[in-house]
Amino acid sequence: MKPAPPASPQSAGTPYPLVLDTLHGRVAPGRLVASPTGHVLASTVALPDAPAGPLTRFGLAVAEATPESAFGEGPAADRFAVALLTAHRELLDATLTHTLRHLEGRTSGSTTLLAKQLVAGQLADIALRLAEDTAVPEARRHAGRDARWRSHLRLVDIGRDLLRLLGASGFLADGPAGDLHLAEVVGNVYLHADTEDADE
Amino acid sequence: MNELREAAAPAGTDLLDERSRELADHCAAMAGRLRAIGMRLDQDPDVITEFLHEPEVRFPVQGMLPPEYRSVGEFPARLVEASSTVLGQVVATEQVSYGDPNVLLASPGPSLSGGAVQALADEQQRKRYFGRLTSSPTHTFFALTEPGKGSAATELETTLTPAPGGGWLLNGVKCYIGNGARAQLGVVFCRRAPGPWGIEAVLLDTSAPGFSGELLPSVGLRGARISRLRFQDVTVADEDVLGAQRSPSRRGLYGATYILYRFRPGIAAMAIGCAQAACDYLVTHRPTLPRRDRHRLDSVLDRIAAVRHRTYAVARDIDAGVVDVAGIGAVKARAARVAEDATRLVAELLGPACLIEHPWVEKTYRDVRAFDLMEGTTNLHAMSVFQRLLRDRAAPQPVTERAVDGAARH
Repeated sequence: MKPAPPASPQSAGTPYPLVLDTLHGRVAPGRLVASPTGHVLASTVALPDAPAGPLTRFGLAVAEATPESAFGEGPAADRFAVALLTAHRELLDATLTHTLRHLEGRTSGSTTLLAKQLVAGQLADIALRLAEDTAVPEARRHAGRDARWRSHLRLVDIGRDLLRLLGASGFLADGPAGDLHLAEVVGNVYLHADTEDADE
Repeated sequence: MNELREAAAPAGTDLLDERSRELADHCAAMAGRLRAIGMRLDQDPDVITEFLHEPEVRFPVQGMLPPEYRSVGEFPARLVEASSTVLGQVVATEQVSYGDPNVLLASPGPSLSGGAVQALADEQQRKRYFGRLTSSPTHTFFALTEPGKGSAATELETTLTPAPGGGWLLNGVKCYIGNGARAQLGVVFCRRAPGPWGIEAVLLDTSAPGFSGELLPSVGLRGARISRLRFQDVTVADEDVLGAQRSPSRRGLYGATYILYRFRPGIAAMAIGCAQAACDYLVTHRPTLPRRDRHRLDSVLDRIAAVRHRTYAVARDIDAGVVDVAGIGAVKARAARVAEDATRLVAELLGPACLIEHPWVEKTYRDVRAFDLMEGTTNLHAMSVFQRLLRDRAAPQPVTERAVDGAARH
């Protein structure tokens, strides 16, 4: 399979739904990529006629796939899955920078929270885990659906730990928490390694 | 509507007496209706006004009111009385939250501010506060947290200064205050003088000039309606300073800590209720799991049972006058974490696109993340646990100083 497009569409803080639209456009120009389950997730701008749902206020629309969709399996879907993980990783990287700045501006007693040993250790651990995920060799990281799902779960872990460090501001929909929630939902739809077969 | 859950009493409830179990059953029967209302609140938290007449919405608030202000004849008095203790509040809150925690948080009523009034106010202040709550549906708030300092009560910067013509002026900003922007009445913690005993709690009518509230968009738990509040030269009358007749060490800061310790197990109970509900939802929708996945679910259920048992224990101790600060923080932190882990596991085991196809799961997945940051983050409580660990097992002095220095507040 082809490696992920080296996109960094959210470097300037682009809202995640618009990042998602960019990924759709790069992987399947003029079309939207459907998940293996037959869903299409894109911004409310790209899917203006999609029914309103709980994610609409985050700017994300959900629609059923149509014959025009780039459908759920094959090279386009693989490239899209890889690009989703790249975008998630970049979002986490930006959130890490945001968290460092945020904690530098918060004080407890006479010091910033950033100077607290507990906080510093957690931030360092997060940075290491993020770097580690990036360092997983391509052939292994994108070996298949299971590998991509493992990577997604690692990224979700990192994101949750980062948001905890942001305290209550890590729960605001118009900050990193909103975008990271969408990345988690999109991963659940496009990247999930189906375990249904294991029911036997 | 008990079809949401298994018939047997949840594991970890062995500390409950017969009356508490009856209370739990009473609240458990509300779960289905509360879940339906909770889904509506996630779309629009202000629709709570459509449901204020419903017993499922009215009952949970009753135990938070002093006996003379409770609804007479509407609910079994023994159950209302049972729900007025800390353990009773925990039992009721867990079951109500199994249905949906947003309903409780969105409802008018005393919230934490009622606890502050009960703890600090003189008789006239109590009458004014609770009289207003019972005369018409009234939302209230408890304003402690500030943008730069979090919920560190000793460091708050909102000021209370003497007004030129008598009384006081309130100035400052509070952040992440539940129901703040839609409340009619609240309690604001502020600084009158330097030091821990210079903190006061004042009653505030939100129609006062200089008060403004702004809703903050939260990822989940939207019923809480977290808000940013601004006070610009808001006039506070002498009679609105809570507990002015008390010594400084028995009012502002004392009131804040007293209330937080008493209500914190309730946050744990919300998290436990949501975690159990998520696991039961999975079992209902995917009754046959592969052995490996069943082990993962059972592991989460073990943790839920353990934190439930410990939450009941600290609540029972508070009722007995024993306040284990580290233990209270620990159950809140651990319950929040297991709720997050439970919803993540359920989202994984329900399969691809379940966060789209199961809207309640997606909502709960968002909601439970609030419990980590409500009333102190996990890091803050972890430091409290660590300090007790040192006190119990190590030479205290030098290391304790390091622990204090390393404490984090969010």
